[in-house]
Amino acid sequence: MKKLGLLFGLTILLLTFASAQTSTVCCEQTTSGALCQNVPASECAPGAQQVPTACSSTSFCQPGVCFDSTEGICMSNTPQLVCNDNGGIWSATDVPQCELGCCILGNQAAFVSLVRCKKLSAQLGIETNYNSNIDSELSCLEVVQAQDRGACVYDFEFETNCKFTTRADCDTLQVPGAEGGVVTSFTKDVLCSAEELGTVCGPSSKTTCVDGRDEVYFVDTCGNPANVYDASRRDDQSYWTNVIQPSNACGANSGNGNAGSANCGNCDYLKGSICRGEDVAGATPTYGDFVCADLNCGVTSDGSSRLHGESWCVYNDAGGQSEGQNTVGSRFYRHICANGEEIVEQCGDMREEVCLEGEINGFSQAACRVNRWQDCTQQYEQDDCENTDQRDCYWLEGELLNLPEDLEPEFGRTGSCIPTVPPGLNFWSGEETSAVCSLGDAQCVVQFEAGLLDGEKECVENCHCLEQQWEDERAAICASLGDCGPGQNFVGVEGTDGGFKKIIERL
Amino acid sequence: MRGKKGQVTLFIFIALLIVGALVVYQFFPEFLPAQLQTDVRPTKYLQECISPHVEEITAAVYTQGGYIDPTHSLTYRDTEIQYLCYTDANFEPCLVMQPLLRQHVENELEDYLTPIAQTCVRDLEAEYESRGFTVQSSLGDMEAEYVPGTLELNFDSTMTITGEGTQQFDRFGVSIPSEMYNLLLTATNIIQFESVYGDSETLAYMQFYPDLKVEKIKRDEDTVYILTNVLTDESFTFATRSLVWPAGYGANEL
Repeated sequence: MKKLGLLFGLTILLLTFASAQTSTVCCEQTTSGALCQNVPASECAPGAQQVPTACSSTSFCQPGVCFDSTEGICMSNTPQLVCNDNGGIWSATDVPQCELGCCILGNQAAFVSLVRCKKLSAQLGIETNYNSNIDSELSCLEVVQAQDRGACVYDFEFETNCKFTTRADCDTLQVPGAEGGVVTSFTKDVLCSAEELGTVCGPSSKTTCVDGRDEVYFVDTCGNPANVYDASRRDDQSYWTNVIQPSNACGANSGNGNAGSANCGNCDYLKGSICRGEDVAGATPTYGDFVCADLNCGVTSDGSSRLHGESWCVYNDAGGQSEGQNTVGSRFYRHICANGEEIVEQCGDMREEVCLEGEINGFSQAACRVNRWQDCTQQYEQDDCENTDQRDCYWLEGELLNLPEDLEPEFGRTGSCIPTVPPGLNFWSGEETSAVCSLGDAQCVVQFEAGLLDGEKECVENCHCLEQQWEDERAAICASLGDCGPGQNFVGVEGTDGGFKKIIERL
Repeated sequence: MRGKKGQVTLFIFIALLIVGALVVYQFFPEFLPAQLQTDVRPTKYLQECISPHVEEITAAVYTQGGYIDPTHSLTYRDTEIQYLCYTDANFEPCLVMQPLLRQHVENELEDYLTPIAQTCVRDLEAEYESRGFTVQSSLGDMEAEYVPGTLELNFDSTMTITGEGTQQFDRFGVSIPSEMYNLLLTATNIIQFESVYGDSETLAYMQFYPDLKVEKIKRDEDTVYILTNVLTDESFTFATRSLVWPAGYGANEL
């Protein structure tokens, strides 16, 4: 009985856990190769440093921030020893180098540390443009979107050349391949192929994908991206003059973002299409080598079609999803549609996690979340039991669990609080399963009266306990507590021993 | 007229000479003087010598969490996969086990490829010497570096080849197209999330990076991540153990 009390008192459980920790040491390396773990001394590798305290209290294994000065990345929760041995710079607290700011990278932006910004700028061959006063990713993106873009005309090697870029890049002539040129003008929202500019750049049939953009773009003869690919306007000089926003270009209202279209490259990532090479996309454009690839999932495992980025819950093991119907070994799954492929992701095994799903305008989103069943049986009021902010339980009025004496409330009980999704149990080892399942035990004293004349016995009290329904209800409660009672496994095979015993004794 | 005819004859003669020389060069190189026999180009030779080993080692390293010989791993589909974030405890987020992943993978490649590259240089030296050249070389170390789109392998080795003339090489480089840089940085970011929150949201990565596929395979207490570039099919696999909820109340593990 004392053991049961220990099992079902979470506070006591944690205290026990804490006391169990005192017999462990902080070990530099365990026999399995893990670094800086709190383990029993016997699990510490021979020769490895060990201290009879928690790793967080030691100098060598204390977790902190590890700064990678090459990439400019900060890693939290890294033991000092691990960081230093790998060439990082360790600190117990946040370091200034880890503070984030806005890094402008041409027409794109990244909310990163200064060192990271320098690294990214160097990779792109542009000057570092970093603003530490911008303190949110959204503001950072807004800065870039507000930048003027247009034709940067410059004289280079006796030719009037042009690059389509930002005003800032044009002012400093940060145009790869055009260093040393003399900028003559910047014309906002005008393409390099515009005749009025008098540059060597003109229309072509080539297309390209542009970093950070969804659409397929025409490319002029100088290699600059022009407007969105529209086969019908290849020879239309007006289409090669001014910048036309994708919202005003071909197929802007297409429901599938022009996926697979041979003539229009106005892809829309939110509708499930993006610019890809024709070999990857599996469609052939009229001009160029790029098309809008279809990222949506035509037919998924349940027969439905899903959009790129949608996720949904699947529970297709034997049994039901809740109120004790989950079978032994069953679990929840989250399915994801990404890049035209259906990806299956398991939620935690033993039903430690459940899958939750929501929908906004028909777009489904799902997530695996911890199953909060742990304190269900300790709730004695229906309101507390069904408080979904706190736990995942349901109330069973009129049915009582076989609680140990030390958990029995003083004011009595009118019903029981049961996990909505019963947890899986390690029934093949340890004593926990029998302790949990014994909560479902029930004793029902049925009283009979014998007749004075004929000696016939007649049930007078708790007669319902003699009915099959009572037996079924008790079996269901048992199954709701975990992998207890009668039931089947996740492939639908019934248990072999009935799952419970009915003992009838004469008092 | 006669002059023109003579000119044509001369051109035909020169053409025959060139074709003849090419035939001899292709099929009977031993009849050519030493200077003409140098069809062995050092950089190309070393590239061809090292490349198969690079493919072999990267295939192993990428499927084993960035380690040639995993030091702390789980077995998944007969492959040992290194834990890059791990805690032995339940209910706690993991501790980062490899904070500088890119550099670590580079070091693994360098350690493995340096002796191979040195053997290749010695073989090249022997090849030249067998053709009558005098070769002087020094053996250096291999440097590996991932940059966006490429794996750069540079071998610091000087080689002086002396025949009728002298040629000197200071460094041999191989550039292999690879999207591994971005995959390693994504892996680092996932580890960061695992170490702080105990989990990661894979769909967010796939939505943000359209070329990326993230598979998260949850086992009993561990998680195996497989990151794949859908355009190049390159992938990187690693394991974590973080924020573990043991079965039941976890009393069996106390």
